[in-house]
Amino acid sequence: MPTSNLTQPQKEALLKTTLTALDRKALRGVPHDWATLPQRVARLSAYDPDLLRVAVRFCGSSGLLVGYSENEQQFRFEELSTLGVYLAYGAAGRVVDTGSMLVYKQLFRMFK
Amino acid sequence: MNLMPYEQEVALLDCLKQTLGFDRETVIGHTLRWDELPSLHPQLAGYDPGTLRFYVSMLAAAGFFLGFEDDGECFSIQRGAYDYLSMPGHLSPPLYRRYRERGIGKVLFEGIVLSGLLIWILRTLAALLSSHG
Repeated sequence: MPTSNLTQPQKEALLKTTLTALDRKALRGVPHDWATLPQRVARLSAYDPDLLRVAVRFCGSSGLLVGYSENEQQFRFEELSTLGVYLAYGAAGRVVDTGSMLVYKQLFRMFK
Repeated sequence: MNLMPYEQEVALLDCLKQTLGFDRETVIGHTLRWDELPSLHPQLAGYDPGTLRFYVSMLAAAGFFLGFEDDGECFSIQRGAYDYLSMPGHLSPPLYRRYRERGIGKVLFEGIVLSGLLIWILRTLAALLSSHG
């Protein structure tokens, strides 16, 4: 497997980058060629196509991508699953959590 | 590159998630040898420990298992992902996407405006009800 030599943080970064790069409206629901994926999606251009294929397929088979299907030449997906979204935007989400909690607390005081 | 058939990979990952993610008696919080893993479930028996190690480490990298430790011979998992997803303080996926697409300022502004509108409606209703009472 091309990912066997990666460390655990590198695997995490690969999956996070792959999911974030794929979460574009223009990429959902349309077929993508395995061979041209790094050229078509700019954020993935640094990755080896074989490595990307393993990562994208894993995202599909583990349920991080919803509506995933593939053949030898192409793959497609419908959207990111719940856990896929958390994995892709987890760090950013915590910022929203903190901000939202402050707003909720303020509104609660006002209403009280 | 030798990839297993896609349907087989889905079945293997589902089995690993179920077997490792919920088993508090023998897996979660315990240290296991990789060569013990095939004996944990009949569906895992046909796979060599190296293949299982690869998929378990990928599942851990994806956040399905938390507190994953691997020294090459043994591994341990501290928590399953479903515990993580049920923790308080996590926003819904649509709100995460909205944050990414619109930015935190707009999301918070919309939240404040909508909450203010809701409070105004509730206060008006309460005033109407009290004046009639």
